[in-house]
Amino acid sequence: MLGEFEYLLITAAVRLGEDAYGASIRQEIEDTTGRRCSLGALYTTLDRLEAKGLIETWMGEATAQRGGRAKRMVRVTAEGNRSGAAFYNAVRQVSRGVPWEAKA
Amino acid sequence: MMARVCSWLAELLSQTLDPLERDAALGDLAESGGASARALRDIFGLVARRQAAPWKPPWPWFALFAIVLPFGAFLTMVSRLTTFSSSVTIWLYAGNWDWALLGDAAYRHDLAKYGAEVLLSYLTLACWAWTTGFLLANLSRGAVIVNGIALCVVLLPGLFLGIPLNRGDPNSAVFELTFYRVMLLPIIHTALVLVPSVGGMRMGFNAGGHWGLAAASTLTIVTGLAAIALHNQLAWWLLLHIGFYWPIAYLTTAAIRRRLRRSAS
Repeated sequence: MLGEFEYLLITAAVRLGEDAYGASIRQEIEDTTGRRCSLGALYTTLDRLEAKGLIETWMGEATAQRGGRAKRMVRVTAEGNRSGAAFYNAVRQVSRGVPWEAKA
Repeated sequence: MMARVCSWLAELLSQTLDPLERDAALGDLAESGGASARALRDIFGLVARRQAAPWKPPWPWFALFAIVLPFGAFLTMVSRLTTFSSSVTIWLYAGNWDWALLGDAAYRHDLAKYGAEVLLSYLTLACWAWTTGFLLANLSRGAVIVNGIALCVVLLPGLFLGIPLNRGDPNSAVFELTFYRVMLLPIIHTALVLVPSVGGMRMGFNAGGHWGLAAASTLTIVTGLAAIALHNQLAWWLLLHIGFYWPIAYLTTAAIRRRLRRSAS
């Protein structure tokens, strides 16, 4: 079972697709949650998810905007997608009937 | 000005990161605004997490409390005692050297006996220091820098503590000479404790888990024989040896286990 931050990270990476890398994932998490995302938490969680086989990372191209430094690109694996879906379903199931349940 | 200081500090801190991660992290920070107090805080947080990670398993803590502190103190004590006893022998022979005495068989016998004792005591000390450094690096791995510095900090006072000389010592004449009183201990402590332990650390870190059975056995036999030859008259000293020999026992056992596992597979 994923942790909350792991779920946020995987969801952001899936939404960003081909553009998923450190800075963009961080921005996505901060924009959607309104919470600050530290670089330390982001990178250590990326390592953990990669060790679990839920994501793959590799070094991408360097851009001038980044001072000529490479990006750490992220792709969610099939197992990562399954874990994300399982977490989402678990949250939906456990939230049924509670006052803050989102009414679709 | 503030931004420049933050940028410089972030660059400096990031040196401790893996080169690829450093590139990605500094690139991410440049992309999201560049040098600022937040960027510095982010790099500091990442570095702190990376440095703390190797301390999660118990081994680095075990290495700190079971190796660095007792072995550091032990090596310092033995280094001072070895310097004391070898000073007397060196002074006796080197300080009163006379070629004509070599013609005397009894003199030659004593010279060989006490010379060998001094060399054995130096060899034992260097082997102890080396195995301590090796085991420390082998157990600490990611935390080797912190534990290595801690060992050096524990060992460094040995350079300045001086010879353990009692009042009215019959050998006090030897230590009236500056070389034996002041200079020999730092030389021995550096050459036979500090350098071998740092060398052992380097090798232990680079060797990972692959330490040959032959090398471990040779070291065990050499150090064991040297120590027994030196101190066979003192039972408590032998008991102390057993307590302080566990790193060598550990290395040997690990090597045998690896050899057995390899031959089984």
